[in-house]
Amino acid sequence: MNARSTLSPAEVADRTLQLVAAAMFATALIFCLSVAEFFAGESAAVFIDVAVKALAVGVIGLMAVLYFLKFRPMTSDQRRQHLAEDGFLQIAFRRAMARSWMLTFLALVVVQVLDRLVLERLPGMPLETVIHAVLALMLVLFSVSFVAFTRSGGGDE
Amino acid sequence: MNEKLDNRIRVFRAEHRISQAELADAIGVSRKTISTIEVGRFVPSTVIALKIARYFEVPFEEVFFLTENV
Repeated sequence: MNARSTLSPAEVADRTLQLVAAAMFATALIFCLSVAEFFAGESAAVFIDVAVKALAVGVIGLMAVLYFLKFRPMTSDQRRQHLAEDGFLQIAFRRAMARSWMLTFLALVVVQVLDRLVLERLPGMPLETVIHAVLALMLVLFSVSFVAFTRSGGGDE
Repeated sequence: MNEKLDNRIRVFRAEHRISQAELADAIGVSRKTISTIEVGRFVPSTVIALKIARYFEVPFEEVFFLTENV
């Protein structure tokens, strides 16, 4: 029997969340590379640019597969139910989102308070690079938190 | 006082001879959710806890109870 056909809606919801979390981590890598591109030399920057584009295509491909295989066949009620489930992974996802937002906010406050120590030593960065750095921080914090909350589950059978 | 929610899901499952996956399917959650509730790692929502008790046809407090956290 095909294993995919036996998955319950709750298992599909769990796998969807894991895929979304993986895509968010890949997006964090893209933003990290984008920031690194600013600091890298010209030859390295070309390589990083290619890596960013390849990763971006990968993430968009993953999300497209997710959308067309999992979400598009569902009714709007089913989609809403999937997002509103209160299972282990759904709660871990929300906790990771909350933690990443809180830690990013704290990091930005600390950086702003220490602007003379930190910001003035950095070369003038374009606004786009600064935004990418903040997004990368938030997404990395989300990914780390999600893995921490979901690692080594219960007594599986 | 520091209390935690404990449960007898494993005992009830053994009595009913069902696996975590079967219980999960019956109440509409994932197996991971059941396994983490069983070991006390995840505190379920009221709805999930009531569905589990209803599945085993016992009062809620026979499945879930508070214990003092040492």
